[in-house]
Amino acid sequence: MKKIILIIVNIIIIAFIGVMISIKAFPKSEYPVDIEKCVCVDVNGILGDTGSINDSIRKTAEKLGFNIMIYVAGSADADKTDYEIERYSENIYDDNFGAGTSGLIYYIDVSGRSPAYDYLSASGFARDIYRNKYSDITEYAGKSLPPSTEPVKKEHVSNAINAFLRDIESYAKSPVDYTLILLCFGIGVATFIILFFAIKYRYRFKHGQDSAVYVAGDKTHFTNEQDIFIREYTTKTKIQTSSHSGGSHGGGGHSGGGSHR
Amino acid sequence: MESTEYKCPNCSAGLTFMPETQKFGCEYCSSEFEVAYIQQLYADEENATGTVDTAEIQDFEEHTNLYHCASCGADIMADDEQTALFCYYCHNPVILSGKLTGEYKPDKIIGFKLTREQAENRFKEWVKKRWFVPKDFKTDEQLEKMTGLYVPFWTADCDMKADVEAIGKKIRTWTSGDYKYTNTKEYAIARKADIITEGIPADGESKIEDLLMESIEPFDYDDLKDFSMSYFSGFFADKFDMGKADVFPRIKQRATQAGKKVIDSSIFGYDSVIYSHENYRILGTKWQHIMLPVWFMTYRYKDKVYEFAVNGQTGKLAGTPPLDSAKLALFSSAIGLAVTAVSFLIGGFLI
Repeated sequence: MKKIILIIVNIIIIAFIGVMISIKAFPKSEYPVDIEKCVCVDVNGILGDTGSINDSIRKTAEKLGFNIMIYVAGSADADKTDYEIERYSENIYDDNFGAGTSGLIYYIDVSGRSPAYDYLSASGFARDIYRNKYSDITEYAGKSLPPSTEPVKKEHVSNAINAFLRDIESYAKSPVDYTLILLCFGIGVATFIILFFAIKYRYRFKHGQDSAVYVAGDKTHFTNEQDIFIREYTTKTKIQTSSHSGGSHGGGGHSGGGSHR
Repeated sequence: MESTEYKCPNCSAGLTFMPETQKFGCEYCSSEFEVAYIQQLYADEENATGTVDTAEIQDFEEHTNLYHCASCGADIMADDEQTALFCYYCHNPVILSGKLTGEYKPDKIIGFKLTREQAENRFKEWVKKRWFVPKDFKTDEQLEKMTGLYVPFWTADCDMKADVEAIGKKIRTWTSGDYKYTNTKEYAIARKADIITEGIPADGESKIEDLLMESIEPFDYDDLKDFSMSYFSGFFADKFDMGKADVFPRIKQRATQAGKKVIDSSIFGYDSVIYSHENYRILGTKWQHIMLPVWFMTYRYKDKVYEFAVNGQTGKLAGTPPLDSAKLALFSSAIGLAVTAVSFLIGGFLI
């Protein structure tokens, strides 16, 4: 019983320290936030005056310590494919803030294409915060937008932007990566358990004496030693063939993801 | 009318005649013997000219004191020149309980070759590699508990018949086109052998772990000498509390294992062997009561007794090291934590 308690206590300690380690302190960006350039680009002018929206974006950018840009697509963007939207967003970001800086660009697809593709891209240390969360964020903000076949109103877009800003702020407030915690915690606990039981095994009694040493070889003899061939048979089986395919591709300074409406 | 009670040549229990097989059978060890074999055996014994040296037995009875441990029940023998004060097993005081009868006199003995200092050094080397034993297991006080002890053993020379049948397979595989071909050749294997084992030992002390004593084997029987009380000087000796019949199952098991090895080593060249019939029968056993030298030590930790033994002739050692679980858990946790931390650092950069 004592051993079990001891093991549980150790697992709890490992878990606690794991959580402590995994709560990441935000690194300061090498580049200062370019507040003036943190804006909403409204191609078709759906929002009309973007002054208050820009204020909100800048406020959030200042708080989080990285650049934020929102691009509200217009009818001119309707012909873009998903891939083109991704490259286009990243290029706009790099052109606006410079490559390698830390920040986000949120592409809101209200161009009229169907299905619409909202895309979020991060660069610099913003990638560490929103890693694997891109689709969650775009889906959450996208709930404020109508289906791609319906007309878009000003409130839809402003609500989506506000939801987006709230969401990225809330993710930034809880930067604990639970997948990483579980993985590292698992590795630590597995190490503990394997080590504990492997060493414990070494402390068990090892018995080793072969009784064959007591055979008097000169007095032992075989009275019958026969190996008689009885039969032979051959079987054949068809060899199963299988094919594999696969591949990988990598990206540069941006990572991102999005969702369709 | 005088009747003869036949004893089992293997384990010395009484033999009974079995009408269904027309043989003598031992209910204790399940051995069976032809009537003619047993009658011949007894006729040989009656004609034997050997006599028991009564002077030696008398000497043994007069000069051997028996001490009893009231705590663990151990019976310790010592010559009348020395006094046993503490039990080698539980380290409690022992009391003189009388003299021994001649039946406990061993036939042969191997004297100690390993000095106390050498035995202690062997222990120190062994324990040095074990980090997680309790601290006091390594102390000089613990080392003082090491006792030079003559352990009573029964050794058995077994005359065994082996009869084995098996099917052996030789398998060859090759590929041609889209097909894999497997060619199998089967052979009927038959082996019969007369196997003699000599000196399989079994300790006659129930308190000492049997496997511990097996683990410090083998002893070199070339050093076996006729028993003399002089060997006891400076050492203690244990009185057996298990007779031949009690240890025979162990002897039988080990003799069978040895026989199986002989048979197995004669079957080779096959990819698989399936045994269909295996019979190892012990026809007769010759016994000896011998004393073998062992440096013995016990250690009580968390209500469990850990035994440690060094072969007093060859220096081979065996034992169960006690494990300080708290110490081990602490060490494992530290490594686990370090691995966790490194994983987080690596994970933070890579993911």
